[in-house]
Amino acid sequence: MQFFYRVLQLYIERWDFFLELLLEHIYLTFIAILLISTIGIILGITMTRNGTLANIIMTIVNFIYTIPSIALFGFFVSITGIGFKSALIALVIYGLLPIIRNTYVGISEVDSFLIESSIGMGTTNFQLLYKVQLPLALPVIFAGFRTMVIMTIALGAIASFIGAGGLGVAIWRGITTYYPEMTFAGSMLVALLAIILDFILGRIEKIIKKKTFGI
Amino acid sequence: MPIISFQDVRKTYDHVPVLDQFNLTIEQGEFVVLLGPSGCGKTTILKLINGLLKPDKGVISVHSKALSEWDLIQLRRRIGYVIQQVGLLPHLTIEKNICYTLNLIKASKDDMNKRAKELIDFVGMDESYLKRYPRALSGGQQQRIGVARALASDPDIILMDEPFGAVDEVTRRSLQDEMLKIHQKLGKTIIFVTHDIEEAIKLGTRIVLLNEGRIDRDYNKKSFVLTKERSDYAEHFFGSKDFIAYLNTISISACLNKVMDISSNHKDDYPSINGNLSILQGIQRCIETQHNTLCVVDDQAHQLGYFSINSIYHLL
Ligand SMILES: Nc1ncnc2c1ncn2[C@@H]1O[C@H](COP(=O)(O)OP(=O)(O)OP(=O)(O)O)[C@@H](O)[C@H]1O
Ligand SMILES: [Mg+2]
Repeated sequence: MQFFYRVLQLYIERWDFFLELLLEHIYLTFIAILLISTIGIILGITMTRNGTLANIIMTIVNFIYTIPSIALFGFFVSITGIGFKSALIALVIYGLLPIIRNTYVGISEVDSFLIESSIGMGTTNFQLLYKVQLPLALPVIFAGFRTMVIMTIALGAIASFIGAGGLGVAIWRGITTYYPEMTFAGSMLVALLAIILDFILGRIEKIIKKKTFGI
Repeated sequence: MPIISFQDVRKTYDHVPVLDQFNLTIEQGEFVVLLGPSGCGKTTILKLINGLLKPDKGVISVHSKALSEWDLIQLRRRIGYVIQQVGLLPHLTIEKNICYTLNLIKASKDDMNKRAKELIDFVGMDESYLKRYPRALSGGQQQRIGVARALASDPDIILMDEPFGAVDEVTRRSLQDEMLKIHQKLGKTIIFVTHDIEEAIKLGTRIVLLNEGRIDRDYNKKSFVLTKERSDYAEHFFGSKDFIAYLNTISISACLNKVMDISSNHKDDYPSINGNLSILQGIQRCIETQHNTLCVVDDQAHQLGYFSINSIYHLL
């Protein structure tokens, strides 16, 4: 109990410190999420149009996913040095899998007779994509997006270890100065951020599902 | 000028030919039924018409222009297409589904709204359905919307691939009546795929029986039924069901004996029958009542003439 009290006290005393870390964290992950979504959706769509390419990309992405995240961060530090850029690249690469896979699977799983009848009615390739395939794949894509967001927020804490700022700084400082309250306070904020976002995204996912499939 | 023609068309899947040396010409305004068992190539023929499939050999022309010279997107927008699974888009309201092709060509909102109301009315459904989603409709209602959607851009050709396969008998009959109405009222050219001989006889002005990608029998409705020579294949496929179906589609009033040398004071001796009923029902009535002549009346019980089992052969 004493411990939690001290954590609370820490929040109150150092609120500006935590707020700054929180904002940094949100900033880093927000940019990563934006990049991941753009790249992931474009790659996912491209894959549905080319089977060989799909296999190649899927193999690469799956391979990256088997690398421990710490190792990945370490790898990029050795290439692009310590700091925001390395952290961002690592986050983006690591977060691509759920988006790419879900975009690809979501579009591939749209009933073939819907695609065929849409084409048969005079739909162009581009219209097919944004009028039929993407709206129908949206629930699956969004589920991947939700996974990715949570994952990126959590991984963002590790990003601080390579000097990108964010809530990981508090965790790291707590560990190195043997100050468990500090570590806990930082972790709590990461978890809270993840839980709140997960809740909001879960709500949105439900609405999308209902609109698309009525369930 | 034929509106659709196949010239020596060959179509293979993985080097296995489904159609070979296939020829077919369809005239403007015909209601052609492509009839045949599963796997004989009916769907393939339809998809060749709207360019979803390409022939390996031969030429397919629509509106006297080879498909290779058409902008397929433009052509498809002028051909209504109804598939067996209906294929309404689940994320769009009924209104948006009906107006799908109009939306593709960027018609105005007012036009689309007006057209949607017109069409849902035309297929016998209430306007309140326009705001619903496909999943809130029964199978039969979805089929109706599928037909409405195919009519939306006022195409002159409509392709229908077993559109009424998945509905009950009563619904199917009313959808079939709808199609007859559409054909008569709007004068569209309709290519309709089915494996049901009764449906074929009821709907088609012309029936094409297919056997493994070859045309076994191709006549207008009357000749299809009454031309005696038929292949073993046709015999095996439908036996005499075509004839029964034919008798079922012709009304007694279309087969009326206006004058008969029966003095009118004897007319009460004959059982009466409504002229809207089919010849088949007339024959049934004759057998039930053990008369070979019936007195035909209209809905108001006015006498129209006589129906005689002795004389139907030269009226058919
Ligand atoms: N994409 C495909 N790949 C390989 N074979 C195919 C393909 N599509 C159709 N076939 C084959 O071509 C033949 C004709 O198919 P088609 O779909 O035209 O038949 P159908 O007359 O419409 O049958 P049904 O009444 O079952 O719908 C069948 O033997 C089928 O197995
Ligand atoms: Mg078929």
